Amino acid sequence: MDKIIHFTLLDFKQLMKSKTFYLKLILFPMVLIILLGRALGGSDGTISSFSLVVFNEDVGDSSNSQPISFGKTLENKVFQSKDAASLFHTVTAASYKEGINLIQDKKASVFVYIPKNFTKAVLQQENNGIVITAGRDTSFDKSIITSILEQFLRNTQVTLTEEKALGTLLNTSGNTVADMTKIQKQLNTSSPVTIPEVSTNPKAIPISAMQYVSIAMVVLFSISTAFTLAHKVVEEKLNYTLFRIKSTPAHQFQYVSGKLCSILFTLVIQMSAVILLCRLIYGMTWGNPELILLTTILYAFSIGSPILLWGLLAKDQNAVSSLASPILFGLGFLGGSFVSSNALPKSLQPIQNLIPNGNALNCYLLLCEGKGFADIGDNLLQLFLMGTLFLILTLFIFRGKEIIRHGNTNHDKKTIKAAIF
Amino acid sequence: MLRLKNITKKYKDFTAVEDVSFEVGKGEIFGLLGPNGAGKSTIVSMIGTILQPTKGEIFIDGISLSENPHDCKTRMGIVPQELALYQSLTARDNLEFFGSLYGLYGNRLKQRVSEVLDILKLTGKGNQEVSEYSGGMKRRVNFGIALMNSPKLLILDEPTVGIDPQSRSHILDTIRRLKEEKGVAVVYTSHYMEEVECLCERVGIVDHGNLIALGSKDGLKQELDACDTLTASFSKANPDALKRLETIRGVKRTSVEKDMITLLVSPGSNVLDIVEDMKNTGIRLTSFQYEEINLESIFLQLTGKSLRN
Repeated sequence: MDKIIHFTLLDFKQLMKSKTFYLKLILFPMVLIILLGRALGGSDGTISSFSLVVFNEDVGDSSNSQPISFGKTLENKVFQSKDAASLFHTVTAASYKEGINLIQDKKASVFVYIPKNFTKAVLQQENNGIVITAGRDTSFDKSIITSILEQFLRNTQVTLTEEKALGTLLNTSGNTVADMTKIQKQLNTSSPVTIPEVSTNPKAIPISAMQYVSIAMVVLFSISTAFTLAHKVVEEKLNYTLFRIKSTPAHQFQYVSGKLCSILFTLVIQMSAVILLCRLIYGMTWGNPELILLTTILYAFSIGSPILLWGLLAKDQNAVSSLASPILFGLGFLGGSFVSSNALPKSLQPIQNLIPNGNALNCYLLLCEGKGFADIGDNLLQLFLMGTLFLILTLFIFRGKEIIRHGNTNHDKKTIKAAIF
Repeated sequence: MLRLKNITKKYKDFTAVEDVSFEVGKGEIFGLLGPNGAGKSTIVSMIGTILQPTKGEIFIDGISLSENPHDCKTRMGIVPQELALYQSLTARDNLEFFGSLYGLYGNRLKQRVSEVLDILKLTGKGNQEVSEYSGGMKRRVNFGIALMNSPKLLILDEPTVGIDPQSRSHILDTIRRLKEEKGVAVVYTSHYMEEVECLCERVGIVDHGNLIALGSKDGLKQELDACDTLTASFSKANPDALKRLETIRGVKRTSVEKDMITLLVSPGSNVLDIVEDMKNTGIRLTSFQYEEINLESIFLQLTGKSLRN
């Protein structure tokens, strides 16, 4: 155990000497997250920062004993619900012109005009005449409002259909109008009004796009960091220190474990720092800290093991670098770091659940959504098994690996041949 | 202390070392000589357990290396010909790290680091990064790491290549002291014949993976009927003249490299006559040097090439 710690501390000491490494470790992901945060909407970097203007002219429908106005429900209940408040704030315009002016003056992102006959049109399933106007750079905000409206109208139609069917049933079974009103009230209160946001899988409850991007970047950057550490392993071969280590009584599993621990340690530092900074800057909630840490360790294990294996197999630094880019972008794409896995072609979607970064991404998202160990257990097990498999492979290969040195006096020649027999 | 028994190393159809056997006793300094690619480093790597012999067995202090590598490794220190150091760390950090791999820790480790820094005469500079050291100082640290476990057997693979005379002399003195004071057995490979000549009691000469000569320096000289060496530099010579050199009386073998001629001549030959005959062949000589039988001439006689080739 002592020797494992010494190998880990050795890497840590060397990395500490590199003044830029830890800066890169934390600074680069943070800069990218901040840039993406701004691209996704404003100073606080979340999609909740836009303003919605509503001008409601709906007169409702009073043909029944109980007057009804879907316009008012939309304006006062849906747009000002608790969930909606976390995404945007609503301002009421006095006229259509004022609404348009607020958009033109960039004082609001989206303007919703609810026409006079909105309720009647909805009841009669006709064109409802609602108008959504958005500024030039606010298409994302507009899509959110559009989704909310579509959802509202769909739910309303479902409720009306149910109500109609129930009315028919009640009339035939001899129930009174009073009973029907009571049931109608119940239907109204139970009618769901959900707000769509960015979601990675069908099980997930919505989280903000900014949070998704942050998690995706954290997961992606750790692959890049692991490759940086793989370079250190290759350096050890090229500097002949591996030759020296092999001639000491240190066991091979101690070397491999020590190296893996240093990769885990560095990745945990990176991810913890980014998670903490995201929390401090953007106020993001990441869920249970212990489970976040466990996920981070297992994810670092699952990517650290194969990358360490590659570091030990690689002939030189070029071999590591040449593989780093395709792996980084390939895994980034398939794992959902660049696009949501739902946006991938159907044939590629299952891959997200198989690769380590996709698994980790799903774990983080589930934890952010407030899920617990039971929900991420399978993903964690997969990460653990993946890491263990590659660790065994690394130990097996490292055991049989021989280093051939060139016995000559040409000391400028930094070549070393590595071969597996 | 060290016994190699019929060691062979093969890479597919290439044989790097073939059937090499020798022994090194306690407190003995053994020189291993050979031109580039002869197989010296392969032998050193097999002793250091970096490579596995295809055939044969190695014993260290009577313990089989293949059966108990851990115990063997604790008894020996290896100085590779390359600088196997962490350049971004200090000399103290390097010594501490490798010392810890030999199971040293706490005060014992710190004490040993101080002792080794003292041996290396780097006590005042132990906390300086190795990258800031001169070539000679780096070589000393490279050497010092092998001393961390107080080894009974020290394997030195070209430890003095490319260093200043002061550091070289320091390393050679330390090796002698270790032998005399601690009874350390040393296997020493070098291109510098004069180092081997003054340091080693016995030598083994390796060429094309085979041990072609083994014995004490004097024993080899007698056994091989070795020659004296006449080295001459020239400014002008035609190819025919160079071919005629071997016909000169007393000359046994010739070797020409750029503007340098090396002649192996029978001991007791008249040097001035040979030089005169060389002039008569049409070679314009600029200088010449005559040496009595030494390892260089033995080596040249055995391998047909200079050790520095």
